Amino acid sequence: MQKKDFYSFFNQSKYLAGARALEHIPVDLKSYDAARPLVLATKDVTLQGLKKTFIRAFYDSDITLGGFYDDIIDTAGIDQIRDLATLFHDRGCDSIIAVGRGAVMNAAKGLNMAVSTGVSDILSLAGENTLKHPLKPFFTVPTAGSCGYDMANIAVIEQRMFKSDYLFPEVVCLDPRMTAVTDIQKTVESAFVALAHAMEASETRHQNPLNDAYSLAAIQFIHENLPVTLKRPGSKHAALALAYASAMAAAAFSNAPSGVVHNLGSALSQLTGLKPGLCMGIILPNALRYKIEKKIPVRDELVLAQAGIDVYSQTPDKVRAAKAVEILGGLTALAGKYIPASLAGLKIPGYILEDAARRAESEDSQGFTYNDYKSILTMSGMGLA
Amino acid sequence: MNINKYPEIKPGKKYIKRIYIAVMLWIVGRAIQAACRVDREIKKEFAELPEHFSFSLGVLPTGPFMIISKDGEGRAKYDGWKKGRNSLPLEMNIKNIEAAFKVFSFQESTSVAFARERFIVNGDLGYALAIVRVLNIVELYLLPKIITKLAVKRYHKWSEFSPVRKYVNRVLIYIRTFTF
Amino acid sequence: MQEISGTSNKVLEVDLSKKSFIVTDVSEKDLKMYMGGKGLGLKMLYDRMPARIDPLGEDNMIAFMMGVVMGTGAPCSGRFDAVTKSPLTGIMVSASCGGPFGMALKTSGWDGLIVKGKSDKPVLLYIDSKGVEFRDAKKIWGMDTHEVQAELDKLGSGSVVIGPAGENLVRYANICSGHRFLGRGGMGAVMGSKNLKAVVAKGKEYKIVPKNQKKFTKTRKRLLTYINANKVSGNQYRNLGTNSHVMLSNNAGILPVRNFTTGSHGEAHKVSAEEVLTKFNATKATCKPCAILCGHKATFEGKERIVPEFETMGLFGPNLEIFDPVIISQWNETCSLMGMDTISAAGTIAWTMEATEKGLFKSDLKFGSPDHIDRTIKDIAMGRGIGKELAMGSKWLSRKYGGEDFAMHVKGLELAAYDPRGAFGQGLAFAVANRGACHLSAAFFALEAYLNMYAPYTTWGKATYTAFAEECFNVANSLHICQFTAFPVFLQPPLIRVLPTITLKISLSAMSPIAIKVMDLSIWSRLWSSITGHRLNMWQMLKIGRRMHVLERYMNTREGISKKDDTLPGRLLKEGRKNDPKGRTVPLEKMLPKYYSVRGYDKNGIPKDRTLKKLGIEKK
Repeated sequence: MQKKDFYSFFNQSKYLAGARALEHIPVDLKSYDAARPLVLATKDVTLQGLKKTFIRAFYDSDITLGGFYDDIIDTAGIDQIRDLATLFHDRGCDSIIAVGRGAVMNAAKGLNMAVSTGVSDILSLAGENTLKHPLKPFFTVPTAGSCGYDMANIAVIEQRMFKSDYLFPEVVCLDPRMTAVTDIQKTVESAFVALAHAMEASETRHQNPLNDAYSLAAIQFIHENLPVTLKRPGSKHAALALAYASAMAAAAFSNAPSGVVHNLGSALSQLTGLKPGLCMGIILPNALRYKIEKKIPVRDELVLAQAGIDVYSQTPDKVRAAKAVEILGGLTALAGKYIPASLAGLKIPGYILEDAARRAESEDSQGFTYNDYKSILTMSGMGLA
Repeated sequence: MNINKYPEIKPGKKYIKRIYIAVMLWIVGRAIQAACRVDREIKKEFAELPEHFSFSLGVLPTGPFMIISKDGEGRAKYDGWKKGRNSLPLEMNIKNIEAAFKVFSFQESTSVAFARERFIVNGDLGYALAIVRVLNIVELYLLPKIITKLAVKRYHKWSEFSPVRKYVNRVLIYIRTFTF
Repeated sequence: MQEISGTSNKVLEVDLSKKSFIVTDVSEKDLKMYMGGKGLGLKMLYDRMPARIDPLGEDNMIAFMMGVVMGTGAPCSGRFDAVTKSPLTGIMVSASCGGPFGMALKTSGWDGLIVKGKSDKPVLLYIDSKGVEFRDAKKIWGMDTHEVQAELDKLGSGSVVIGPAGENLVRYANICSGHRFLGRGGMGAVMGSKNLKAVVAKGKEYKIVPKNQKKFTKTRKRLLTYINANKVSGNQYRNLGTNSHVMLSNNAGILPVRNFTTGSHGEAHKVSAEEVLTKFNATKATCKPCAILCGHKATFEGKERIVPEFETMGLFGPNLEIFDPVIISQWNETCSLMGMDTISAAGTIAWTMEATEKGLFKSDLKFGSPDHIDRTIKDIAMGRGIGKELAMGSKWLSRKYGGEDFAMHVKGLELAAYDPRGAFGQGLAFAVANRGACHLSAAFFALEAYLNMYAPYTTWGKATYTAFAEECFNVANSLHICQFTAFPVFLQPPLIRVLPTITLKISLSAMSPIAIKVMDLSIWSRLWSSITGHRLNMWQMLKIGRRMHVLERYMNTREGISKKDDTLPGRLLKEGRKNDPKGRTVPLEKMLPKYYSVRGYDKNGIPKDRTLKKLGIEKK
């Protein structure tokens, strides 16, 4: 039964998903009274031929693209955002479309803040809920391996966190042509980020029916489709399903405080330059194990989402949490080629691990201490064996 | 930053799909006009519509369109493929050319397209449903069963739609559609 | 005086925790496989040091290694090498220095010194032919590098010391010997973390005699002739020093200005060697022994100071938009007194200026203004105020405060003063160099921008040459002979000299694998074999160079280095220089795969098992 405690849930995005979803963007742009979007992307979008697909979707519409800026780099910062703002104003654009993952989305959100608020120094807006007015229409077209930050209400620019409900994209367009797997490594990493976010969002303390709907569905989608993608990376169906999962996990993550795995994974990736997905993928099962060991409650419903009603009902109440870890372990083992089973494989020096635990503690909002983080890392170091 | 590196992109055109849809719309439009004179069910549907009723079916944003209006005798009349400035009592627009192509190449039935929000309907929904029923019947006449099955929600049974009526009317409608 | 024939092959291993030492004999196999100097140092640390240790912890080791050439009187041989794990980058780092310590240790009968452990209180090592004495260093702790050396001069003929920066664990603190430095990668902090203030060697106890005197004399003569005939070593460096690069770089458009936003500046001539040397009465001040004589000192406003090297001049000068050689020489001196790497210090200050300008970081530094810089340098060394954070280097700062695309570092090591957007090969060399953005690992800029042997804006043949140059310079650093002898050794042999430049240029770009095979480097291999008495030809020598490079890379991959780290700062990959109307950026992605295949790495940048086996490196 759900508790009757207070909770809030907000997700404003409209989702255009499935076959020919891209072609619907022009009409939706119109409905936001926008006619000249500026498109942002990374170079690999162009290299993979997705730029062509994207532009063809605008054929026979009356939308003129103010420009297709495909030089967003991984470390995109305020310099690039300032350049983009110049481009945006020069071309008289009125909306933003971001194509790709990660850095593009952050840059696009930064650009949106810059051009909508007119603030010359967007870093002054860092923090939670500093935006007071809605921004310009912002559409996203995630590609494979987008880990869901794009669809959430946060942006990270120059290591500063921006969190505001106005940062939700207006429209998220999930088109199978764009989400087709081009880089299996990145796709698997993103799936684990989504899984970590979904599992942490569904945790008992901020559990509410709306969050459950999103997070448990995301978990189910990943458990069903990641094995398919691993087996047949060409499967557009599975790739799209993973993108849905990322979107749902992002919605859930946006409405829950960040969890242990997220804190630790992002601290570790920041210190080592490894991808967050890789770190979270390794830490996730171990964090769950740690919680069970420390008798911190873990949701039963995880098993339901992971393996379906049959397994759920056959598993006794008390061992459901352990079962969840076991199923998760199975999934990580399947992805073993891309996500090593233990941190030992990543060759991270001990002194950096300590740093990461310290940093994670400083981000923590759930009462986990340095020692907790340290022990989770130690467990992750040994792997699941 | 070199702004010229990122030029403005004007939308291109998809000529073949446009021509295909224009032809299909022309045929359907003429067929509605013809069917209204041949099939009593369609006649009845049109009779129930208000005076001076007209509607358009087309593709956003620039067409092609198909305009059908109700003439003084209560029959449907095909009014060409260009939309005037005035808005019509009922406008059924497909959001984009790809969606229209899916519908007109029978990959997606009209009802499914409605369900997937590929249509934008301006006007009374009751009229729209009447028009969808008309379209369904017209498709029954125009196309062989194997294709029509893809396009309509439910193929009429023998009891509802006798083969005699079907084949006779089909011939009549074809003659009327392609002759002036 | 006793004689050592060839080389002593004895290395001292000191454990500061236990205050004990042992003498290790270098096996003949190791000597033949790694030559000495840097190569042998790497190998010995590889055998002794576990992976993934804290660079500032007890387990880290630092090896000071003398090559076989040291002490024989060969030209430009007064250099030694140090190898350790860098606290700045977290990977292996090696540095070369021309100070008197090398000669002192070598002539005390030691080929090297490896220090491990951690002393509980400040300590000073005194080394003579009998071994090591541990002396209390409480009295000299806190002194700057010059004071310490003045204090230690009476003890022995050469020393390595750290300044306050090293004591305060500034991540880019360096080690000083004489007025030369083991500059990069924060070796000073490693010594500081061990509470080791200085090492003094008595020296002048042995005489080093080559095994094959006749061959040695002949080779030495030839090298001297080449050095004197070559226009770079015999003229440019001898008369103007490395600072002659200022105008060369400015003309080629690769002089970093305003934290690498543009590649040339109208006022650059003010800090050029031509102007500085005539204006301030320069005289020579070099390593010993040396035949090139690139170091200079001059009288700046009544005070005699060392003329800053090009890297210092470029990075503290145009890169901060400052064009006053007097004030730059003063900062150079402050850095040397504090014992701090000028390249990293200036790079970090440039980041701070830009980050301040953009509102990412709070400081009172700004481009074009020399105010507060001297104080900031001292603050960094002493760990005061913002200096405490600046001491962590630009990578750490940008990871914490943002501004990663203009934090000019590779793998944590700040870029030297060459803008690779005007020399693509140098871009590749920066990205793949083992210790980070190292200009010396392949020194490609010289061929591209100065000597005009490669077209700077193409990628042709660059991967092959980068790999080749890395091998050559590894060899030079293991002999150990000055890297500048590469100019005469590469360019003076008859075949290269008679070929017209255009032919050279075409053959190097289009047929680089063949062209580099024609190069004659036999002077270096002859020097080594005449001294040690072991046979070694040029090809074997290059294979040794490759072995060292791959070993270092392999050690780095154990610390987590892979393709993701072989990259350049965002600015160099994204925005063009302001002086370049075409706005060209470094096409790194094009060159990397080729380089990896030449090197025998897999596509993720990790040395393949086959490569390791072929080079005789045992996997650990």
